[in-house]
Amino acid sequence: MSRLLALAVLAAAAPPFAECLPAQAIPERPEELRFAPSTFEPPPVDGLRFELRNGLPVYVVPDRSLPLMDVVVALPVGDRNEGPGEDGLASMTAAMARRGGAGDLGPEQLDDEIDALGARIQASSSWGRTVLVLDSGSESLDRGLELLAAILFEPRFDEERLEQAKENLRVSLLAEADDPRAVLDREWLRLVHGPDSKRSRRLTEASVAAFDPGVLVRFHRRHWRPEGAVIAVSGDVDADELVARLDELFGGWKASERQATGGGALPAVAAATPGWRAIDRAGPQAAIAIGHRGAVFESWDDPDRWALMLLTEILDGPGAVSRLRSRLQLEEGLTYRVLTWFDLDVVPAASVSAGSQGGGEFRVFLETAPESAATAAAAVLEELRRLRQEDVPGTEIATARQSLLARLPLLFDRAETVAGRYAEDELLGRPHEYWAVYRERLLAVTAADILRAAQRFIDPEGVAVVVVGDAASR
Amino acid sequence: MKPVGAPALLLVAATAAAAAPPLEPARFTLDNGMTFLVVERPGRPLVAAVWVVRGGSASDPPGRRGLAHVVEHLLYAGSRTIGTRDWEKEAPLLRRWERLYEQSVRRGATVSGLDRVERRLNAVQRPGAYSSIYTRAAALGIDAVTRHDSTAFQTLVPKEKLELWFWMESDRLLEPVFRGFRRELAVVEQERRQRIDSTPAGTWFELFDAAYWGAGHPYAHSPGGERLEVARLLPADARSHFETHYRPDRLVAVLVGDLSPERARDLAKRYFGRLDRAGRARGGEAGDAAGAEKVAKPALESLEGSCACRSQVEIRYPTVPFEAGGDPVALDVLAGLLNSRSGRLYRDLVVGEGRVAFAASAEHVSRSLGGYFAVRIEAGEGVGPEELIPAWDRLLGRLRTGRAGDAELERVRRQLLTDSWRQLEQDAGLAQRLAAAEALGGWRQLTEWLDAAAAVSADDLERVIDRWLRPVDRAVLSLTRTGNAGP
Repeated sequence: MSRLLALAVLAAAAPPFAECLPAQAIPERPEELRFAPSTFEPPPVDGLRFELRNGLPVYVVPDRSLPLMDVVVALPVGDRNEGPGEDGLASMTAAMARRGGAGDLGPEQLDDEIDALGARIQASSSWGRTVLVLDSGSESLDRGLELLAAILFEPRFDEERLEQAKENLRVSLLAEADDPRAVLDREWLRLVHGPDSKRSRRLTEASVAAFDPGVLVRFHRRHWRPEGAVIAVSGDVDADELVARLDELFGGWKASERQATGGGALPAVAAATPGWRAIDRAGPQAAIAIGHRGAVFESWDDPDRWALMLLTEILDGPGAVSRLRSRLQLEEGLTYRVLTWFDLDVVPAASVSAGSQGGGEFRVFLETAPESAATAAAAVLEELRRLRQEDVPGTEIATARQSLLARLPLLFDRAETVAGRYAEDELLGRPHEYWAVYRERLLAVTAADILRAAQRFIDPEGVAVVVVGDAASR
Repeated sequence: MKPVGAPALLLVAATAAAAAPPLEPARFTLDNGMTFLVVERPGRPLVAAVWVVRGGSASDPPGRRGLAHVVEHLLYAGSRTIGTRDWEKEAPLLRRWERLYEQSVRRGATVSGLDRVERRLNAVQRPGAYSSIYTRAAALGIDAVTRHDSTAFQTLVPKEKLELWFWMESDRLLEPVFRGFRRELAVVEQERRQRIDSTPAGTWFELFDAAYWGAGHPYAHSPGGERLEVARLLPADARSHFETHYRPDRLVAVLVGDLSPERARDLAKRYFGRLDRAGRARGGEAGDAAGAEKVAKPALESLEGSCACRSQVEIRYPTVPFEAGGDPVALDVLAGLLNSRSGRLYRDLVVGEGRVAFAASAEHVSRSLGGYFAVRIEAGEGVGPEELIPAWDRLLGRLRTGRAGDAELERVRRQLLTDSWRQLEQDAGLAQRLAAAEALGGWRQLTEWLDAAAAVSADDLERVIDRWLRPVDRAVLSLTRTGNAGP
């Protein structure tokens, strides 16, 4: 082959320009890599919000890439709305709305119809919200929505299915009494909130016995209302067509007078009954909960709230750099996993409810060998005190901030999460603006802010510590 | 995601109402044998990045059960660059520590000097450095899992910082340093206690698995291994496992997110192209435990126990290894027929007049060396485990004599199809599934399986019930509730 021809062949086979560049060297260390700055911003909310004729807000985020739909109806109702003797009623009402038949359909027919569509409908309830979720192929959406509306408006609470559910709850209660983690949970919440607080009350044999169709019907009638409710829709859909259909099905849902919850002072964080409590239970692991009540703010933009978000991350973020994980796992090998939770509720002053119901919990949970339980708990308390005594070094704050900001894209990574997040804003009274200032506010938090927030909201002397484990090994 | 793909693969058999999901990842293999799959999804802020090694707990050598899982943990200890303040200083100390540690394990007592060397090592090592580099770069979901047939390592990286993933992952594959060995064994022990020992029936399930597969079978132990054998593992065992299995031709990486296959290929060549196929082979040929005998009949018929749990049974029938067609797929469809609220288990055992169960489910488990069909039933109020088996037998009798109806089969097909779309929704889940399928026989099995499932007929179900769900071949685990005294 002549040299000229060889060059011509090479030229013809040459890859595009970019690939002709000399192979870039691999830097010695990863820190030497240079990246374009992250361009992530939460997607704009403009154009996503619609209103039905009764004022019910609907957020729609179309995504036509897969023939799937998600519809979530969320109501601001949950355990917190249960009255005396009604423990577990909010969850039972949600569960039986789905399982007990709806509209013209008995329980079996309802299940058959949902399954034949290849769809799923779920209903569940937690402390402050009840959600109904329809997840289906887009071609089944229309019938799916009708079934969802029937469950929301006309649940039948079939008596036989309710009896079966009650049997199963009794079996679950027995199993709970055997489960060290459940025993820990009950006892710790009782110490933190006090035995009479709604926050610490859990399902009992007596409350199960009180469930009957009439009780469920009354709870449903009283609390499943459009005030404060919101709908989020994502997936393979045309927004205008969908909203028109939703208006037919949900636009006639009538608002009515709701009783306002009583006012009261913001609660202090210390546990109702601080101190240590050990529960003897044979087993290879001890389960430990340490903490007190969570924080309650009047505004989503309270500077202490941003500081506490960073503080929680410094204490036990999901990255490997957090204090509890470094110490208990990486340095001392005491535990496989630590879990920390800090409820940072926001309740407008006018609607703070009486007692400690507004605040959730600040809790550190871990499991360790029974003989290490005391060491591990002492280490956690030492870390809590350190947060109140010393400034957190700048590098630690930077890492925690980075770690928090890193999770922001996950909150908006698909049509479903975008619709859900903005709908949740409305449900919680959180301004959409929150997401626009998120990065800026976290960047503004200083070591002094964290120290101040720790001194105000972390009370190592006011904690309840519960250990469930083998006393003989301790 | 980009709706691309070969039309032939997009259509399920005419019986199904809609098309199978569009899925056509770009696939390329480096000169050293490492395979990459890339699914481009414009607009996603994060790239889901997963790599899988063919080889999991089934390749643990006798006497070293739990080795694959320990190596998975040790791979987070870093490399000659990451995890150390000064590798030149650390290397000789680490060699000394390993010699002393080996002597200690052999003697069953800590030899003098071990703790002193460990303290000096602690001063030069940086535990957690690997994860903290990722965390500082805003990466998330850093995790790994050891399964029977494969081990997977996953991360979510901001798309702008994708190159960091290539740097970090190729670095730890190129020259990993297994530091913090003793501490990591302690963490593995904690993990075992948390996952198995602390769950009421955990140890019984483990025993049942061991008894079902029979001593010496690669699936007879859980990925967590055996406590006493884990405690005796040595750093040299971990290195040998790594060199045998973590060869580029046994690795598959999957990237799902806003990146082009061309860019992925460029970075893959530059970073993972450094891995040397031959260099890794010195650890000996990787055994895929392929010679293991198929289980035709379980090694035991029944295991009875008690625990602080709900009374329950598991009935297990031996079947066949995974295949994207034939009997394995028909058995998957059979599980679909039994499951869900309109399925036979719920209708016959959980609700209605003759109900005996709190919950019931069926599953066909098929791995590369064998499979089984399992039915799990938890007892309802006041029901003992002895009532559950006859109830299942009656249901099975009805399945044998009454064919599955068209509407019933159509329901299962539609559920399987919708589920397969759902599995495409989340990038991280899709990356995991693609990686596992590619490592164990090719990603196309995912779509082939769906085509095969859509074609399963009532005759097929009758055939697999007759052939595989035979009472003489089954094994039964039966647990009776004892209350909270514990076992």
